[in-house]
Amino acid sequence: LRNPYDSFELDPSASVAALTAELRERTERASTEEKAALREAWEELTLHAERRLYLALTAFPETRETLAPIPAPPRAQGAGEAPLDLLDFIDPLRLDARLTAPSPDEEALAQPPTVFPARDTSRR
Amino acid sequence: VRSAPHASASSVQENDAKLLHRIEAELAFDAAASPIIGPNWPRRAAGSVEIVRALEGGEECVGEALMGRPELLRRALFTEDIAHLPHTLVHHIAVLHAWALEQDASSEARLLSLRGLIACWLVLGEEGAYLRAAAHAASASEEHTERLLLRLRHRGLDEVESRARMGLHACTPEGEVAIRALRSLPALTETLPLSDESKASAVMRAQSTIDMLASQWTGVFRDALEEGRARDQKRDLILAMTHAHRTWQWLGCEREVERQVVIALPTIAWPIYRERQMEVLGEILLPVVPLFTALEARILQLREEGDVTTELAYLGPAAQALVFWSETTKDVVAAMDRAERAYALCPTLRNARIVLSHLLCDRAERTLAQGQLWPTHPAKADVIRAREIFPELARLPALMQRVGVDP
Repeated sequence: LRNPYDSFELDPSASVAALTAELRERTERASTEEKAALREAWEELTLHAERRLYLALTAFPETRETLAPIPAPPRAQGAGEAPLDLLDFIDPLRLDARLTAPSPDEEALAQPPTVFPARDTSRR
Repeated sequence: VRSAPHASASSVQENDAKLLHRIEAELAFDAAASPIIGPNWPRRAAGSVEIVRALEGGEECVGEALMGRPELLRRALFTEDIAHLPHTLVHHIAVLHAWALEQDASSEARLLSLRGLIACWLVLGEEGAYLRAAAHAASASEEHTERLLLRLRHRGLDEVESRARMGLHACTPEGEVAIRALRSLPALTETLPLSDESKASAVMRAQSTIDMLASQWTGVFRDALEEGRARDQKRDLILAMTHAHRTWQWLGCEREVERQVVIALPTIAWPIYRERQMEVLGEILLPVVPLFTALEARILQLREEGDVTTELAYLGPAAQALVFWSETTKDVVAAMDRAERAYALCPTLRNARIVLSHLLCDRAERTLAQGQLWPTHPAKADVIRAREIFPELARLPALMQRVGVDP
């Protein structure tokens, strides 16, 4: 069996709690087969502290330069504020760079839809 | 445009540059390492390329790999010359070697990986600080860390030992590579930044593994001989000797196998000798000739170096093996040569003296049968020497009389 840190691209420096959260999140989207493999990996990584450490140190180390985190999407607007439009999400750099003016299609896309689709909450 | 949570221009450019480097590193890594470790490596593994890139000449390695010429980068990623590399890269190389060992590869490639695995973990374990920091980052307790550090230091040696153990019974090629890796430890450790104590400890561990394997084989060998004798199956004895030869080769010409063979030989050879089944004895001896002649050569080499004690216990058995070998040939020249070697090895061995004396007398008789006796006839010299070597030989007085030697 290959090292789960490598098989599932897990961060070798992650704590047990972080590993559990990560694997749980993946399990939600996984097929039955994948779920079994994820469960096995979780057990291997969390049941014995020394085993986890051994696997962490014998996996490929994370030595890549850290990337800046991707900015979180803007929160929903509070009451009384105008909804954000597409231009709010375009990087100011792009605007500053004097890119060619948006095409009519882009302009159209930038407009808020006239009717928002109702949010599907039946799954929750 | 209202303010949205955007990053600053410089940080975005910096991030883009890092991303580009990452992509290039992954492409270069794929070209250099995938043929050796397979295609399903984690993206983290490409971090090794970023480290190589920062080293002298690294940019060129990566550039070449991106142009479809990955050999330089491959050499950098699987290098044995790890003494001056950053520990992060040594760590990557250690894991790369472990991955490479899971793939089908040639013996030479597996040997390189085993040596690399041993070397990298010895160096990382000796240094300690890097692994402690990595363990600390993984929220490990101090107790676990220290225990694991000891274990990791010998991770490569453990792997090699396990492969060797598994291969002993069937003398597998996999195990043979592991033995070669163990045998290469003295030279390998000399190239590593290790303390003298660590080097000695690693070499001793490798030798202990080989000794342990030889000892395990000895038990199996003795049982096989015992069974062959009990069942009076000559074929079993030949098979046991053939397996001894194979094991000897597999263990890298291990001297313990030579010693065990020469010790065991008389017990199985005498009953066959007494029955004068010299052809069978020859068949039994044939596979182990390289073993006892190697032992003979080593004893003579040691003697030349002034060491007469190291193999002292095996002088007699090795000489006896040569005597048996001499007795199983019908070629008189070869028989004489082997008997001379036995006598030279152990002049006090009675059997060597008797056989050589007999052969000298035989030769004297053959010479005498050929023609007239001159004062300096070689037959005379042979008889005189036969008397010196074993004066009690029953046929000597008559021969001495024939060649005109005073009793």
